[in-house]
Amino acid sequence: MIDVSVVVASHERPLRLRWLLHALEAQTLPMSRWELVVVFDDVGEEAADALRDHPLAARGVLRAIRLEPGTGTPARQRNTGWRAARGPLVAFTDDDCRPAPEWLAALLAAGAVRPGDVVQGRTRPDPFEAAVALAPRVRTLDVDPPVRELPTCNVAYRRVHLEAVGGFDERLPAPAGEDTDLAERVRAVTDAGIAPAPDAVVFHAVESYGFAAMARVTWKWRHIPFVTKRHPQLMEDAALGIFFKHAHWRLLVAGFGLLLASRTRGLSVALVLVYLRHALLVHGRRPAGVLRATAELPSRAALDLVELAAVARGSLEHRTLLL
Amino acid sequence: MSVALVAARPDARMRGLADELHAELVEAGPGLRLLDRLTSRRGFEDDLAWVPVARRRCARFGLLHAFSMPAGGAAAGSGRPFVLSFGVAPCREELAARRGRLALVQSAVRAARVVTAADADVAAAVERWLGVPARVLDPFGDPAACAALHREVSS
Repeated sequence: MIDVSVVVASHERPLRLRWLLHALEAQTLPMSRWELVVVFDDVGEEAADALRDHPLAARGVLRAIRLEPGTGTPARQRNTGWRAARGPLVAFTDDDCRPAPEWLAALLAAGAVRPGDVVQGRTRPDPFEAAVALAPRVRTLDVDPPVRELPTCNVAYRRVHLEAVGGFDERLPAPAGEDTDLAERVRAVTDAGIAPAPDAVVFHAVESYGFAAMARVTWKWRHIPFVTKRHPQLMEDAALGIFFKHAHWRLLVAGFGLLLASRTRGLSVALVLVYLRHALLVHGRRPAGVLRATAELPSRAALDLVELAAVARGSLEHRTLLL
Repeated sequence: MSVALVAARPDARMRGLADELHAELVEAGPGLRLLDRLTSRRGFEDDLAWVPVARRRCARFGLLHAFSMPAGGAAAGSGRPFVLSFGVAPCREELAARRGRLALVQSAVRAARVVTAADADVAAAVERWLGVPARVLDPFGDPAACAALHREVSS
């Protein structure tokens, strides 16, 4: 009998998907108790080959569902995946993740203790890729459960939860807020809490980006105001009640300070320092950390500005206020 | 046909192989090695600074034979046909362990005409972790087979 179905949405990461399959093959939970459904929309054949030839497919554990190339959004792919799955518990992870061998067993154990709740595991930047974190622009995830947003890199919903709300909202086209939206809807409809599973560890890829690529990735946050408008309770966690991140209001204060530079130098410097004080300490207070943060400052400030602009644009589009 | 063995830091075995195959070596100069020491401390892939220089040098040859991921990245960027050889088994712990390495690995493996592995275990690891079949061939142990492979790839 299948106890848990793993659902993965994959898009143009064939090599990382291959590595994910290997990590799942090494799960300590017997293969008779779980299945894997991968939904992918790659243009090339690399992912299809990896999925077809993998030992998990030969053993009947893995099913792959291919969508028209480029038509899959994370929400659509995950919905396709869980609807095809057979387990009463549906565990989501991403194609840039590497679950530890005890991941599924630990999710199941935590889920058995709190059978009505959503189970959330721990996510850590992959220690195999620690050196990449020295790059100035890095994307990874570090999540200690319970976290309200329930990112899909490491979470398990009851199938009944997903059926109760119809799964992910496919109107959200990017991996930005669709996980939080699902979590809030499930909470509202089913009254489910979060069962933390700190022993269910997933390691998230550490990927560095050039400035332009990171700006494109950051622009996806324009969809967040849709989510906060739909779930106003999320604004309780907003910085100063209206900001997506503290860096955004600090950047606005610093920008105001720069505008005042020709009139009141002292006040101008003080306002700019509101931003700098935090931006220059992101790597700690030691001289090497401050030096590194100083070198990264132009890029960091520019990306904070891009993110602020993205969220502001989303607010305009959805007629709400989040900055 | 002009053949070059591409390796940032060729050892005596590599120089011997180059002599035996009448091939040239595309290697890193001392200045780049110093720069590489600096970039390595910031987590970058070894010999990453050498890659663009090597890419230009590689473009002068008819066939390339790369012996490392930076060499493979340089060969791939040159647009010339090349063989990529693995002497040791790739493993998950190492494949994305340095800045820039994964991009080099992917470009090298995708662009190589032929991938070789020193033995069957290495070939199995190449297929498992990189998804490409590798021919078992040890260029240092069997230079004649290596020369035959070069003729095959360039024909």
